[in-house]
Amino acid sequence: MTELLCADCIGKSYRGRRILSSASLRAVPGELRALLGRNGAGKSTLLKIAAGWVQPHTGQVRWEGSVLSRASLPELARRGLFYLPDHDLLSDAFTVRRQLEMLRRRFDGLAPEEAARRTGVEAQLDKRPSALSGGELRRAELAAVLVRQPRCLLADEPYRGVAPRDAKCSPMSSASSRRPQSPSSSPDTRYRRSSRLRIT
Amino acid sequence: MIAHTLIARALILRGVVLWLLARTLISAVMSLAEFNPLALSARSSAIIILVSTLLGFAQTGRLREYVLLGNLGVSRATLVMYFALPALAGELLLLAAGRAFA
Repeated sequence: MTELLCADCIGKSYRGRRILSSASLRAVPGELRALLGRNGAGKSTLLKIAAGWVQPHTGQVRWEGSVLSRASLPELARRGLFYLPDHDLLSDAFTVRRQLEMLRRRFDGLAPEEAARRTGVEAQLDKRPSALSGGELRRAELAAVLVRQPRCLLADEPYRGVAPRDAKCSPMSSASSRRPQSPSSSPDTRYRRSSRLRIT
Repeated sequence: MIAHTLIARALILRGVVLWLLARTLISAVMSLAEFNPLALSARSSAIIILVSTLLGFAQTGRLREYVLLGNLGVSRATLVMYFALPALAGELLLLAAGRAFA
Protein backbone atom coordinates (compact mmCIF):
# COMPACT_ATOMS: atom_id res chain seq x y z
CA MET A 1 0.00 0.00 0.00
CA THR A 2 1.21 3.56 -0.74
CA GLU A 3 2.80 5.27 2.20
CA LEU A 4 1.17 8.44 3.46
CA LEU A 5 4.05 9.84 5.49
CA CYS A 6 7.68 8.86 5.35
CA ALA A 7 10.62 10.18 7.33
CA ASP A 8 13.56 8.70 5.50
CA CYS A 9 17.21 8.29 6.53
CA ILE A 10 16.83 10.83 9.32
CA GLY A 11 19.92 12.03 11.16
CA LYS A 12 19.84 14.37 14.13
CA SER A 13 22.36 15.59 16.68
CA TYR A 14 21.99 17.73 19.77
CA ARG A 15 25.06 19.57 21.05
CA GLY A 16 27.39 17.20 19.30
CA ARG A 17 25.60 14.09 20.52
CA ARG A 18 24.16 11.98 17.73
CA ILE A 19 20.56 11.09 18.56
CA LEU A 20 19.49 9.57 15.25
CA SER A 21 21.44 8.10 12.40
CA SER A 22 19.64 6.94 9.24
CA ALA A 23 16.39 6.37 11.10
CA SER A 24 13.22 5.87 9.07
CA LEU A 25 9.52 5.91 9.89
CA ARG A 26 6.69 5.12 7.52
CA ALA A 27 2.97 5.59 7.98
CA VAL A 28 0.73 3.52 5.75
CA PRO A 29 -3.08 3.94 5.62
CA GLY A 30 -4.95 1.34 7.65
CA GLU A 31 -1.92 0.23 9.62
CA LEU A 32 -1.06 0.77 13.25
CA ARG A 33 2.68 0.90 13.79
CA ALA A 34 4.48 1.05 17.12
CA LEU A 35 7.97 2.27 17.85
CA LEU A 36 9.54 0.82 20.97
CA GLY A 37 12.92 1.47 22.51
CA ARG A 38 14.88 2.40 25.59
CA ASN A 39 14.99 5.91 27.01
CA GLY A 40 17.07 8.29 24.95
CA ALA A 41 16.98 6.10 21.85
CA GLY A 42 15.43 8.94 19.83
CA LYS A 43 11.83 7.73 19.47
CA SER A 44 10.28 11.10 20.36
CA THR A 45 12.82 12.96 18.23
CA LEU A 46 11.98 10.78 15.24
CA LEU A 47 8.26 11.45 15.74
CA LYS A 48 8.90 15.21 16.08
CA ILE A 49 10.89 15.21 12.86
CA ALA A 50 8.23 13.18 11.02
CA ALA A 51 5.62 15.67 12.28
CA GLY A 52 7.62 18.65 11.05
CA TRP A 53 8.09 19.91 14.59
CA VAL A 54 11.87 19.56 14.55
CA GLN A 55 14.09 19.84 11.48
CA PRO A 56 16.50 16.96 10.79
CA HIS A 57 20.17 17.47 9.99
CA THR A 58 20.03 14.81 7.29
CA GLY A 59 17.24 12.91 5.55
CA GLN A 60 13.88 13.96 4.22
CA VAL A 61 10.18 13.92 5.03
CA ARG A 62 7.73 12.90 2.32
CA TRP A 63 3.95 13.22 2.27
CA GLU A 64 2.16 11.06 -0.28
CA GLY A 65 5.45 10.68 -2.13
CA SER A 66 6.19 14.43 -2.36
CA VAL A 67 9.38 15.59 -0.66
CA LEU A 68 8.80 18.49 1.74
CA SER A 69 11.96 20.59 1.73
CA ARG A 70 11.24 22.04 5.17
CA ALA A 71 8.30 20.12 6.56
CA SER A 72 6.37 22.07 9.16
CA LEU A 73 3.64 20.87 11.49
CA PRO A 74 1.07 23.46 10.29
CA GLU A 75 1.64 22.42 6.69
CA LEU A 76 1.39 18.69 7.46
CA ALA A 77 -1.64 19.33 9.72
CA ARG A 78 -3.44 20.99 6.82
CA ARG A 79 -2.75 17.86 4.75
CA GLY A 80 -4.24 15.56 7.38
CA LEU A 81 -1.59 14.85 10.01
CA PHE A 82 -2.14 15.12 13.74
CA TYR A 83 0.79 15.10 16.13
CA LEU A 84 0.03 14.07 19.69
CA PRO A 85 3.09 14.96 21.80
CA ASP A 86 3.89 13.15 25.03
CA HIS A 87 2.62 16.21 26.95
CA ASP A 88 1.27 19.73 26.54
CA LEU A 89 -1.06 19.41 23.59
CA LEU A 90 -3.86 21.46 25.12
CA SER A 91 -3.45 25.06 26.18
CA ASP A 92 -4.41 26.27 29.63
CA ALA A 93 -5.75 29.52 28.17
CA PHE A 94 -8.98 27.87 27.02
CA THR A 95 -11.37 25.20 28.25
CA VAL A 96 -11.11 21.70 26.81
CA ARG A 97 -14.45 22.22 25.01
CA ARG A 98 -13.23 25.40 23.31
CA GLN A 99 -10.07 23.72 22.05
CA LEU A 100 -11.97 20.70 20.76
CA GLU A 101 -14.43 23.09 19.12
CA MET A 102 -11.53 24.90 17.42
CA LEU A 103 -10.41 21.57 15.94
CA ARG A 104 -13.93 20.62 14.92
CA ARG A 105 -14.60 23.91 13.13
CA ARG A 106 -11.18 24.02 11.51
CA PHE A 107 -11.35 20.49 10.10
CA ASP A 108 -15.08 19.75 10.15
CA GLY A 109 -14.52 16.87 12.55
CA LEU A 110 -16.44 14.92 15.16
CA ALA A 111 -18.54 16.81 17.74
CA PRO A 112 -16.53 17.53 20.93
CA GLU A 113 -19.30 16.09 23.08
CA GLU A 114 -19.21 12.79 21.21
CA ALA A 115 -15.40 12.59 21.36
CA ALA A 116 -15.48 13.42 25.08
CA ARG A 117 -18.13 10.77 25.67
CA ARG A 118 -16.03 8.13 23.93
CA THR A 119 -12.95 8.98 25.97
CA GLY A 120 -14.87 9.46 29.21
CA VAL A 121 -14.15 13.13 29.79
CA GLU A 122 -17.64 14.63 29.31
CA ALA A 123 -17.57 16.02 32.85
CA GLN A 124 -14.24 17.74 32.17
CA LEU A 125 -15.23 19.54 28.95
CA ASP A 126 -15.78 22.92 30.58
CA LYS A 127 -12.63 22.79 32.67
CA ARG A 128 -9.21 24.08 31.79
CA PRO A 129 -6.49 21.45 31.29
CA SER A 130 -4.69 22.44 34.53
CA ALA A 131 -7.79 21.37 36.49
CA LEU A 132 -7.60 17.80 35.13
CA SER A 133 -5.67 14.85 36.49
CA GLY A 134 -2.88 13.37 34.35
CA GLY A 135 -5.09 10.56 33.07
CA GLU A 136 -8.05 12.86 32.40
CA LEU A 137 -5.80 15.28 30.54
CA ARG A 138 -4.45 12.50 28.34
CA ARG A 139 -7.96 11.30 27.59
CA ALA A 140 -8.95 14.89 26.72
CA GLU A 141 -5.98 14.95 24.33
CA LEU A 142 -7.16 11.65 22.84
CA ALA A 143 -10.59 13.28 22.44
CA ALA A 144 -8.84 15.98 20.38
CA VAL A 145 -7.54 13.22 18.09
CA LEU A 146 -11.08 11.84 17.73
CA VAL A 147 -12.42 15.31 16.90
CA ARG A 148 -9.70 15.89 14.33
CA GLN A 149 -10.09 12.45 12.67
CA PRO A 150 -6.68 12.74 11.01
CA ARG A 151 -5.54 10.79 7.99
CA CYS A 152 -2.31 10.10 9.85
CA LEU A 153 -1.73 10.19 13.61
CA LEU A 154 1.71 10.38 15.20
CA ALA A 155 1.25 9.73 18.90
CA ASP A 156 4.08 9.92 21.41
CA GLU A 157 3.37 7.79 24.48
CA PRO A 158 -0.37 7.78 23.73
CA TYR A 159 -1.28 5.90 26.91
CA ARG A 160 0.74 7.98 29.35
CA GLY A 161 -1.24 8.07 32.59
CA VAL A 162 -4.27 6.31 31.09
CA ALA A 163 -5.63 3.33 33.00
CA PRO A 164 -5.72 0.11 30.91
CA ARG A 165 -9.52 0.03 31.29
CA ASP A 166 -9.76 3.50 29.70
CA ALA A 167 -7.26 2.82 26.92
CA LYS A 168 -9.84 0.81 24.99
CA CYS A 169 -11.66 4.02 23.97
CA SER A 170 -8.59 5.56 22.35
CA PRO A 171 -8.27 6.38 18.65
CA MET A 172 -5.56 3.71 18.35
CA SER A 173 -8.08 1.12 19.47
CA SER A 174 -10.39 1.97 16.59
CA ALA A 175 -7.46 1.67 14.20
CA SER A 176 -6.82 -1.86 15.39
CA SER A 177 -10.49 -2.73 15.77
CA ARG A 178 -10.33 -5.33 13.03
CA ARG A 179 -8.80 -7.63 15.59
CA PRO A 180 -10.73 -8.89 18.60
CA GLN A 181 -10.08 -6.93 21.77
CA SER A 182 -10.81 -7.69 25.35
CA PRO A 183 -12.03 -4.87 27.61
CA SER A 184 -9.13 -5.48 29.94
CA SER A 185 -6.50 -5.01 27.24
CA SER A 186 -3.49 -3.18 28.58
CA PRO A 187 -1.56 -0.63 26.51
CA ASP A 188 1.16 -3.25 26.17
CA THR A 189 -1.38 -5.59 24.63
CA ARG A 190 -2.34 -2.89 22.17
CA TYR A 191 1.28 -2.45 21.15
CA ARG A 192 1.38 -6.18 20.56
CA ARG A 193 -1.65 -5.74 18.32
CA SER A 194 0.14 -3.20 16.16
CA SER A 195 0.49 -4.09 12.51
CA ARG A 196 4.23 -3.48 12.77
CA LEU A 197 6.62 -3.11 15.62
CA ARG A 198 9.96 -1.42 15.42
CA ILE A 199 12.42 -1.65 18.29
CA THR A 200 15.23 0.89 18.45
CA MET B 1 -3.83 30.64 5.52
CA ILE B 2 -6.47 32.21 7.76
CA ALA B 3 -7.55 29.77 10.42
CA HIS B 4 -11.14 29.59 11.52
CA THR B 5 -12.65 32.63 13.25
CA LEU B 6 -12.70 30.93 16.66
CA ILE B 7 -8.90 30.63 16.60
CA ALA B 8 -8.39 33.99 14.92
CA ARG B 9 -10.63 35.77 17.42
CA ALA B 10 -8.76 34.32 20.41
CA LEU B 11 -5.34 35.22 19.00
CA ILE B 12 -6.33 38.71 17.81
CA LEU B 13 -7.83 39.41 21.24
CA ARG B 14 -4.51 38.37 22.76
CA GLY B 15 -2.73 40.71 20.31
CA VAL B 16 -4.98 43.61 21.38
CA VAL B 17 -4.37 42.97 25.09
CA LEU B 18 -0.61 42.74 24.63
CA TRP B 19 -0.50 45.88 22.49
CA LEU B 20 -2.53 47.74 25.15
CA LEU B 21 -0.09 46.51 27.80
CA ALA B 22 2.98 47.55 25.80
CA ARG B 23 1.43 50.89 24.82
CA THR B 24 0.33 51.70 28.38
CA LEU B 25 3.78 51.01 29.76
CA ILE B 26 5.53 53.07 27.10
CA SER B 27 2.98 55.89 27.39
CA ALA B 28 3.48 55.97 31.17
CA VAL B 29 7.25 56.23 30.73
CA MET B 30 6.84 58.97 28.12
CA SER B 31 4.43 60.91 30.32
CA LEU B 32 6.92 60.76 33.20
CA ALA B 33 9.57 62.09 30.82
CA GLU B 34 7.11 64.88 29.86
CA PHE B 35 6.69 63.73 26.27
CA ASN B 36 3.33 63.51 24.54
CA PRO B 37 2.62 59.73 24.33
CA LEU B 38 0.31 60.30 21.36
CA ALA B 39 3.01 62.00 19.33
CA LEU B 40 5.34 59.06 18.75
CA SER B 41 7.54 58.86 15.67
CA ALA B 42 6.87 56.19 13.05
CA ARG B 43 10.00 54.39 14.21
CA SER B 44 8.80 54.28 17.82
CA SER B 45 5.42 52.99 16.68
CA ALA B 46 7.16 50.28 14.66
CA ILE B 47 9.12 49.29 17.78
CA ILE B 48 5.88 49.06 19.78
CA ILE B 49 4.37 46.83 17.07
CA LEU B 50 7.49 44.65 17.14
CA VAL B 51 7.43 44.44 20.96
CA SER B 52 3.71 43.53 20.93
CA THR B 53 4.35 40.79 18.38
CA LEU B 54 7.27 39.39 20.38
CA LEU B 55 5.12 39.46 23.53
CA GLY B 56 2.50 37.49 21.63
CA PHE B 57 5.04 34.82 20.75
CA ALA B 58 6.36 34.79 24.32
CA GLN B 59 2.85 34.36 25.70
CA THR B 60 2.11 31.58 23.22
CA GLY B 61 5.33 29.85 24.27
CA ARG B 62 4.55 30.36 27.96
CA LEU B 63 1.16 28.72 27.48
CA ARG B 64 2.81 25.95 25.41
CA GLU B 65 0.37 26.43 22.57
CA TYR B 66 2.66 25.94 19.59
CA VAL B 67 1.81 22.26 19.12
CA LEU B 68 -1.91 22.95 19.38
CA LEU B 69 -1.65 25.82 16.90
CA GLY B 70 0.51 23.69 14.61
CA ASN B 71 -2.12 20.95 14.68
CA LEU B 72 -4.70 23.60 13.83
CA GLY B 73 -2.63 24.51 10.78
CA VAL B 74 -1.68 27.95 12.12
CA SER B 75 1.79 28.84 10.84
CA ARG B 76 4.29 31.27 12.39
CA ALA B 77 3.55 33.75 9.58
CA THR B 78 -0.15 33.68 10.47
CA LEU B 79 0.73 34.19 14.13
CA VAL B 80 2.80 37.26 13.23
CA MET B 81 -0.24 38.62 11.43
CA TYR B 82 -2.56 37.96 14.37
CA PHE B 83 -0.24 39.70 16.83
CA ALA B 84 1.02 42.54 14.64
CA LEU B 85 -2.24 43.64 13.02
CA PRO B 86 -4.01 44.72 16.24
CA ALA B 87 -0.90 46.69 17.25
CA LEU B 88 -0.69 48.30 13.81
CA ALA B 89 -4.37 49.22 13.89
CA GLY B 90 -4.01 50.64 17.40
CA GLU B 91 -0.99 52.72 16.47
CA LEU B 92 -2.77 54.10 13.40
CA LEU B 93 -5.79 54.99 15.54
CA LEU B 94 -3.59 56.76 18.08
CA LEU B 95 -1.77 58.56 15.29
CA ALA B 96 -5.09 59.79 13.91
CA ALA B 97 -6.25 60.78 17.40
CA GLY B 98 -2.99 62.63 18.03
CA ARG B 99 -3.39 64.61 14.83
CA ALA B 100 -7.04 65.39 15.57
CA PHE B 101 -6.22 66.76 19.03
CA ALA B 102 -3.03 68.55 17.96
